[in-house]
Amino acid sequence: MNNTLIALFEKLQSFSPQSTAILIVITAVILMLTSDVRRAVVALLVQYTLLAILIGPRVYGPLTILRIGIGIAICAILLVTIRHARVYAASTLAAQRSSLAVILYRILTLVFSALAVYAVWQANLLHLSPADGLVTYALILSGIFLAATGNEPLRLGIGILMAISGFATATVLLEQGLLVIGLWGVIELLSALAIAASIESWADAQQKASVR
Amino acid sequence: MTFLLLMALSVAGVVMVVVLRRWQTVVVGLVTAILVAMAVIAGSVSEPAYSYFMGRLIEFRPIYGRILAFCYVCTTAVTVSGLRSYYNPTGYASTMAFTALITAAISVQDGILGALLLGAALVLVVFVMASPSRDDQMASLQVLSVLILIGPLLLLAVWALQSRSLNPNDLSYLQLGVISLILTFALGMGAFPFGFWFPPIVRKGNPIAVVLVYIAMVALVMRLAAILPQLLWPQGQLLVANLLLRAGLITVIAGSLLALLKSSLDGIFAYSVLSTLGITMLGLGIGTDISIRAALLHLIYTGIALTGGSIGLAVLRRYYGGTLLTQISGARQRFPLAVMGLFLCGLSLSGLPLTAGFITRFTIFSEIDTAHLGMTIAVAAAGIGPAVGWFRFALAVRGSSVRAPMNWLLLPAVLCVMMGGTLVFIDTFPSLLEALDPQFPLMLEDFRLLLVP
Repeated sequence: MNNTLIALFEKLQSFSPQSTAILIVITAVILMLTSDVRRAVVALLVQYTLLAILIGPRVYGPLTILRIGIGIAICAILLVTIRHARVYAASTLAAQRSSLAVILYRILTLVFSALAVYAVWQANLLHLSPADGLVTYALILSGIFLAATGNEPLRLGIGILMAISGFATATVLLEQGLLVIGLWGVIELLSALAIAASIESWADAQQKASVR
Repeated sequence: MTFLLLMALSVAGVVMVVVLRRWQTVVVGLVTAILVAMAVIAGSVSEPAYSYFMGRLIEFRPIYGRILAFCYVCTTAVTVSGLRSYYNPTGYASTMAFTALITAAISVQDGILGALLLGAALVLVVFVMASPSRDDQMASLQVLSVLILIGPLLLLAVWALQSRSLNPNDLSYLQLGVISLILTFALGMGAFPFGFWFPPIVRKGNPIAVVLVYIAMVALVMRLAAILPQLLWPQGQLLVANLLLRAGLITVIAGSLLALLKSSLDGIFAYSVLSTLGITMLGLGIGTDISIRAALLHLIYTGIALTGGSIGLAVLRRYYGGTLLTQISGARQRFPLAVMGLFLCGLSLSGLPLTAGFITRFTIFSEIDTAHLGMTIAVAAAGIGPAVGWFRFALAVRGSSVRAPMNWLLLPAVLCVMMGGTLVFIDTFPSLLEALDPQFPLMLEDFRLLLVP
């Protein structure tokens, strides 16, 4: 098992920054389009892992492991919350998620966010390399779009987490102090906990409303 | 040393609250005692103190000490007000952690670290908001999505302006820095997107969440004072000042109109506060010595009114189950203290004479250039909206109440009227502040020098 993981890790590290950046953007697209909450959390975990692989070795080797650890912790928090919040299994919500109007709305959101990412990437105000810039701008902008258009807490929360990841990536690439990196980790974990707390309370309120 | 002591007390508070979470009365007593101790320690700083923490310079100026002490006192008031009612231990632990982060965010000299600490503190507000089950959770997440942007945007502004000082010819850093700074300030003070995040917190959040958000705003103003003079060139300062002036003007007028139109007490209160925050932005934007000092004082007075008002609002919301003006008939008879406190806070937020806030408003108006007479008249007239709203409140609470009393709401009602009384007291005896603290005028000057050296 360990050998398989190490082999997988080495394989991932051998990817060029450009390939990793494209994979991260693909995870962002999946997160914007998917209706399945568990699939979304898995995509988020893959995104955190790829981000760690992209920035970790260039800043400080062991940071890769730390970032993957933070990603696993965040996804674990979200998964446990989803299990508690049974409202996510409710048929009405599932039906709402898969309706044609919702799918079209999400595709439209994706198109707008892609246009915004392209415009900001071209301007490159942060003076990042093309691959780093693509990842940073894609995460920040698609995260903000997702948070702004989310109609349920998990989607909104994933948007917030993506935007924070984007800002953290930019900061870590520009200012490589360990204290700053550590603080970003704390902010990401705190945000995940805040989102989890909000989801649980929202689910409680939904259940009470459905009982009435 | 003071900084380390304040941090140690806050962290100890978090640990103790977590350990003793089952005993709410003990937790409230403990948090109150720690906050009072912190207020005394921070308020007694008379000389700037410098130290290093994890390799970063910490500067603890007397003005920071006084402002932090004031913030701790406001937090103490809302903590005590929740003794028998509103909050769970998660909220208290988050409050203590927030206090530690804000203390560090104000004191640390490194702009990037300060922005990150402020960002982390803002995330904690959501825990406090999420505590009572009746809160609208989607609203709190929407608030988080905006609050979460403030720290990174401030960080971006600091980074861009620092990079600009290393590459003076690269204008893109300058553009990014100024845009980020303006966006940070507009978002942080609730001016943009207008009414999106601040009014929902004031209306639906518990008093602790409201006061913590206010404290984060104060920290933002302090960070702005630390960034602006060092990193912008004179025309840039002028540009930022002009944008602040316009944002302030729009906020004052729009807030005032909405306060006039609202049919619930929480709406009138929320938009009165927003309109008052616009006056602070206006004062900072005018940028003269007097207007900047008046703006800081105005922000402090707003804090007193916000604390007292949110406690009083929570009393009426708790008793009547809502704060529509049609719902609170008889409140004057049932809760005379809370109604009196709310009314005084409302008068102060409207800028009416005999309450703190009148003189500072008047000072800021008189500093507006004589060429902008129309602006002065518009801003002065904008005080009418909240004033009408508060007089409608005074009319709505008449009548008699037949419902059973809730005696345990007496403590928050007393705290509310004490805050309202303080606002009247400050306006009646303005020289008392100087008599109590002879260094206070010097500190206002210190703040002014931070902003415009």
